[in-house]
Amino acid sequence: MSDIKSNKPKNNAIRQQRLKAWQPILTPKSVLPTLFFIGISFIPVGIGLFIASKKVNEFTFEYTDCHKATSTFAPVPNNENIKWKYDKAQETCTVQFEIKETFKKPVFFYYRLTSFFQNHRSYVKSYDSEQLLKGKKTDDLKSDCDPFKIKDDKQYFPCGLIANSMFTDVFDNKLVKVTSGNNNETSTESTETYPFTEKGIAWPSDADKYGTRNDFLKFYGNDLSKIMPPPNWSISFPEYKNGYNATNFPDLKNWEHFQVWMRTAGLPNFRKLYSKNTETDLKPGIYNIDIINKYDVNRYGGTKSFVITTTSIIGGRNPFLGVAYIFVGTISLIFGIIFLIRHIYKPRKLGDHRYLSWNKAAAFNRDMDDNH
Amino acid sequence: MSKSQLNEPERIIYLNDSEKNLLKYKKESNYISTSKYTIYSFIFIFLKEQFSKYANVFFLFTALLQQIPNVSPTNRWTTAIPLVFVLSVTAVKEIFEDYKRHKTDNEVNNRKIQVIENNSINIKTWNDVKVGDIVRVENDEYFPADLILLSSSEPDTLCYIETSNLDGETNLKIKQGLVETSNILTPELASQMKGLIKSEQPNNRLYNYDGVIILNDKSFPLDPTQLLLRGAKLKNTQWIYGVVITTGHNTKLLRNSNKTPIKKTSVEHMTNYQIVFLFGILLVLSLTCTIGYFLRQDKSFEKTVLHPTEENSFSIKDIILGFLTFIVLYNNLIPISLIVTMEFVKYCISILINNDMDMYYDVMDTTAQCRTSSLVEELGQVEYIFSDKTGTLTCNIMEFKKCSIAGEKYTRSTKKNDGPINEITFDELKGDLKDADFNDVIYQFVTLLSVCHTVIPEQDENDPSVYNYQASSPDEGALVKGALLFDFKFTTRKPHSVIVNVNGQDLEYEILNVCEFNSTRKRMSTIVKCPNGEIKIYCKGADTVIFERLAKNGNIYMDKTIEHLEEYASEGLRTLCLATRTISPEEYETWSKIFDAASTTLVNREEELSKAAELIEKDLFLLGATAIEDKLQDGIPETITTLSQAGIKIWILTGDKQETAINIGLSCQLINNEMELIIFDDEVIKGTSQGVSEFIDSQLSTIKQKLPKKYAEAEFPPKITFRNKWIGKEEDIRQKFIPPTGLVIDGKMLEYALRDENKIKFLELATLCQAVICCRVSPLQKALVVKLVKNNIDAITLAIGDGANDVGMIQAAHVGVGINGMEGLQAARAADFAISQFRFLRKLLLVHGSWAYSRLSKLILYSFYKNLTLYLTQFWYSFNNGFSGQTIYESWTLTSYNVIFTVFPPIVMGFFDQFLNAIYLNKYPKLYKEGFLGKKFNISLFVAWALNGIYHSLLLYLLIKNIWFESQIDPNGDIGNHWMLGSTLFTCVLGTVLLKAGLTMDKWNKYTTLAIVGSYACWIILLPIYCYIGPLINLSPELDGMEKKIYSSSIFWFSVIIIPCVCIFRDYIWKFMSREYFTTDKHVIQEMQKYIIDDYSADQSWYQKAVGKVKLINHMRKSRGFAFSQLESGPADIIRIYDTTKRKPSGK
Repeated sequence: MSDIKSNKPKNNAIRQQRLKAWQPILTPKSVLPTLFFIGISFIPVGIGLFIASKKVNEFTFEYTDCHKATSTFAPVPNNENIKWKYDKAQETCTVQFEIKETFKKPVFFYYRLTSFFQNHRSYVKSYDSEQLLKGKKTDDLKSDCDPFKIKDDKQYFPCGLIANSMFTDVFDNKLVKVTSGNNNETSTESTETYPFTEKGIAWPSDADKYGTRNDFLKFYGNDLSKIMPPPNWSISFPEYKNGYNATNFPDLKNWEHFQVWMRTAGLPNFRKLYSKNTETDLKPGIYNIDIINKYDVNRYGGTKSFVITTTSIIGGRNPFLGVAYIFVGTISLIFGIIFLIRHIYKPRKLGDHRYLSWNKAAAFNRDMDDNH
Repeated sequence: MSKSQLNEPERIIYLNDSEKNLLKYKKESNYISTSKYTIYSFIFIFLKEQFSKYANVFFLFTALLQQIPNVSPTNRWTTAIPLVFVLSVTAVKEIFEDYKRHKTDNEVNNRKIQVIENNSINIKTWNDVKVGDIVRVENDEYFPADLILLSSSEPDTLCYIETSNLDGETNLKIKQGLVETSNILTPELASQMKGLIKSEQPNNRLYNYDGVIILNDKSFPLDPTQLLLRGAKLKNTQWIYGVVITTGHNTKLLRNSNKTPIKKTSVEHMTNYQIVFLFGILLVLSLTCTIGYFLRQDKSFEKTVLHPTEENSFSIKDIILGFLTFIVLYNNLIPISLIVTMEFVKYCISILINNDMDMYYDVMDTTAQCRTSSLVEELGQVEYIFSDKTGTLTCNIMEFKKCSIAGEKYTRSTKKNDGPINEITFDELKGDLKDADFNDVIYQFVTLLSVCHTVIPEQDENDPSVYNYQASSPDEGALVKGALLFDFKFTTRKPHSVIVNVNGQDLEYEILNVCEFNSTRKRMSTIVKCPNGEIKIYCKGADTVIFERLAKNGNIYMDKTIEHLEEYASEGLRTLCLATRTISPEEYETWSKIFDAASTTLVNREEELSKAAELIEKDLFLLGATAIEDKLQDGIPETITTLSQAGIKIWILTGDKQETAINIGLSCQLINNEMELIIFDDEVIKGTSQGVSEFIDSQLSTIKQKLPKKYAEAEFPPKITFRNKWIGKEEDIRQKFIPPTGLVIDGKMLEYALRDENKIKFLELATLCQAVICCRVSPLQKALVVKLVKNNIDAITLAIGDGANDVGMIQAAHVGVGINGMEGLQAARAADFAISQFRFLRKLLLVHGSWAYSRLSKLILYSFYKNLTLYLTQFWYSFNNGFSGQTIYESWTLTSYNVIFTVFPPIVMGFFDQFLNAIYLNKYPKLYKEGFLGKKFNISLFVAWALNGIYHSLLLYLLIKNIWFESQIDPNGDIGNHWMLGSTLFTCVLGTVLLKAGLTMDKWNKYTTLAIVGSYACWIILLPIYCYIGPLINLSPELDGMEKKIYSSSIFWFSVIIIPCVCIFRDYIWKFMSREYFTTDKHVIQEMQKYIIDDYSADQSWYQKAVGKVKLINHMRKSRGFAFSQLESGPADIIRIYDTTKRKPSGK
């Protein structure tokens, strides 16, 4: 019976809980260097980010109320430096503004919407990826597309809330430089323009998600009477007023504005890239831009703006990140200094058994006895 | 058992008629099962148990909600799949644990037993034993079922059994078969037996039995003397034959075992509350969002963009669905993985406990066994320990340690440094026996030891020169063995004489009369005729009774002896005084007549015999005294001192007598002679409930006078206030104001004390005493005492014991610990933890308990925190998405948070974290207090962690919102979208909670580091892969194209560095400041551990030694301890029938 296995536990570090370990004790020796390190490394980074952000040239203008403007240039209320006019017949808003410094290339043109909940749950999911890629039979459309899925047996193409609410204002793809006279009336448009391209504004991968016009025509055949554009499109796009035909059917794969719109924003105030110029710098001067004003933001109480901007390493003109780094670095330094001073003047002996509560109590009692 | 049988008054068992028996008891088998599940019942019982937990029901509910179209903001399987995963992990664990139970059951069921069938003996397994079978049980075997003894190898159909499994008593008990069946000595004879047994219906009364055996149409009554119970063991008897009357679960033993109660720990209770509380938060959040959702329905965005076609876009149904959406959205505020993580970690901890080398007992090759892994953290919170004595504190081995003969001290030589030098060793005594001037006294002394007793000698089969002694009282055994040391070898017992071999010469002492021991006489004496014809009385007994009966000239050594007795008593030794007298033949002649007359009286025989004995036990000559050590297990005094230092109150509950119990209390340093003892004296109390009540009142009022007013007038039992739950209990410091007091009560008084009208008073008195000893208590009373404390005081109780008589209290206490002792496994089997030695309790509680408590507290609090942090960002996000219930994170990312990316930090926290290592926990038992005061897991901590989670989540969300800057985040002008925002924020959240985990852990080893760093690295590596694969397999189309964007975006990297730093900054500073400016004991000792700083103040052993010496001197004036554990109305009669010279039948 001597060969019976002994129950004796194995003597290894895990079983006996004697694994080599580091005890992370926060003592002044480890904490003070950490705090100073954070301070010293974060503040320069913060300053760098802050300067980078400061270097960004940005021009923003909200043109929500442009349709109220007169037919001739007039200063914008609350912003005397900018003038606008509105041509009711053409639904075109022209904004005249001054660029004061050179915008180094690349220059980006964004539109900016506020209070638009592209992140609303009913909104986010309201599209059918298959339909967008190669078309889909009416009966198979995802119910997420409601309420813009089917109407009277006809399918909406593209279906869903996102497509329907697409931003439809059209910005002219150039800024026209104005050579100003002595007064506003005499300013004349020159032939000097600053062009923007609308290519390459979507994520490169986006194109893979959408089909070409031919793909759709192949799927739906030539009878497009059962396919119709979303209700807003019929209003906003003149070409879709009478529905689709083989020539005007959307070529989603090459329609980058659509792709940009479909990539929903995470927060209710957002910018979306409209066009860009990577070739030339934008020189100072007074410029005009024409905007075909079709998109109604007043109905939901939002605003719309356009933004002409250069970029920094962190995107737009956003000093927050730099400030945050500086703030953390500074706070860290301040605490470091306070702790250091305290440590110098009143250091605490580590692992001092006199600090143990029972020893303290005993010492206290001894003192009491001595006093008596 | 079928109904018809229930109604029958008796069971009829046919002898040697297996067909009839089989017909009747077809359903009864000897198979036993202690397992929880069978293969068939598993799924039902398991599901029922799992869904009795709130959390699981909640997740099931959520999983079902997600199946409703349009409700879930996340993928519909994101709760169902983790739930199934979590349940399967639990199921695997349950199956594994139950498999072990099945294995032990099988081991028992497959034990071998000899069954007589058709004139021959067949070997069968226990589970094949059937009612009516005749079985042959051999020495040292357990009885497989309840049997009726037919015959045995011993004269008069006697047999000896040991019943430690049943009642915890280790002394042998005698059973005797009927004369009518005593001749069945062979299998043939057994097979020829005809007749039947009428037996009572199965019941759980261990000490009662009624039955009739009918042989040849004559009936003979059966009583407990013939009954051999399952669980008992045959001893000192070569074999017996017996008839099986009840089997398996009908046996009295199994009828007695209650179903093991399911115990829940206080931490689990509180966790459950906290889950409910979180559910409350969940409802509040959902309601807030629903109201927001409701209010927003009027907003123009919803009307114009989302529902332009519908007139009235909004109905009650939408509100309800909206509410449900929010419930689903926030459901993971309650961490789904918490319960399974907790169980997994507890299981791991239990394995670690099982594997502790310090709790491995090499003598028996046993390790600690953690049988109920769910109770591990309770080990760190024990405030009351209820300990059995025999087998738990003591080894149940008596050793003849010292003696005082003729005023001379002798001591057994053990270690050189043991005891003062002025004692003479036994070896020298042997010399004194030959040449000392008082050698006759020594001779008489030793003769008394080897003659005056009720021990049976047994020649060893292998070595005829060695004798084993079977004693019903371990003390007597020790004395007889003690005589061996002086070469007085007791070899033979005959009915009327004993033979003692002295120096190789056999001397036969004729035993004329025995005056038996009982608790009133406190002595026993034997009248013998010595080989030289002299008639002598040898008497041993308590000092007081012997001193009263000394002759005028017989007390010459008395003063010296008393001095020695006091010394022995102070060391916790059991003492007996020995005295003798020579009786003249005439005196004996007259006396023996009186004695014979008394022994034949039918009425009041005992009293008559006492009176007769009184006549002869007089004018004795004091020989000296013996001191027997009831050997304590190793390390008992140290363990008890340490546990007391830790603030744990230890109560001893023993079946032993008061003197023995006090003796043990002294020797294990639970009580000392400076203590005032409150002894519930029968004479003061007069054995009435009223008397007990008055006694308690008077004692209480005396003690309370010494207490400060605040405590004296405080309500008792203290109410469980909200404060207790909020920051933990206040320490009970009442004992500090009163001089050390001990309380001793015996079973009879306890019965009154435990009555409803007295029990609270009694409890108050008992909790004021530093030591409580309850002696002569029944198993039931043990359980009642435990329950008294458990039900009235907000404290965790632990009961430790080794015998079946401790099972009740083990099951009643919060934590039951069994000693997996020499024989009985009953206690160990019923217990939650089994250890081999009492001293292992120290490591089990102070180290493993403290660790488990601290680890699980951290694990739970951290789990709550991490989920709050992540899911509250969703709440803050609701304010920016029109309360639509949209999630900011992709569904499966969200799910994997709980299942993959934050699952390991809590596990390593539970497995590896040590706020101090074992050495320091041992060195500073005072740290244990934090456990039972509930300082590491209480509502304030929960709230603090929850607030921390809220703070972090708010900070995280606000920072990312501002950094995100209207989606324009890319230097090449591209915009970021919703999911990129979500993934960036997720990375920040993960960074924050992992940093917090690192900050929370007190120990970083390679595994913890791997878990924390690895979880983060895992996410960083998996994210692009998932972004690529997810859309391909249509799991997460929304992430399409992000893999190319996210890591090339510098704002991502700047965010994931700064945001967690900002969040954790407060925690870091706070932790540092609390160590530096609000230093606690834990901090100091941690530093000692890390920087290896010596603490001389803790090493107070020199001090304790000095105190010990002072105490020793004080002992001198104090009481003398008499203790003798012979049974009353013992087996002296039957033993005297014994004749060791007779040959035994082989029975084959």
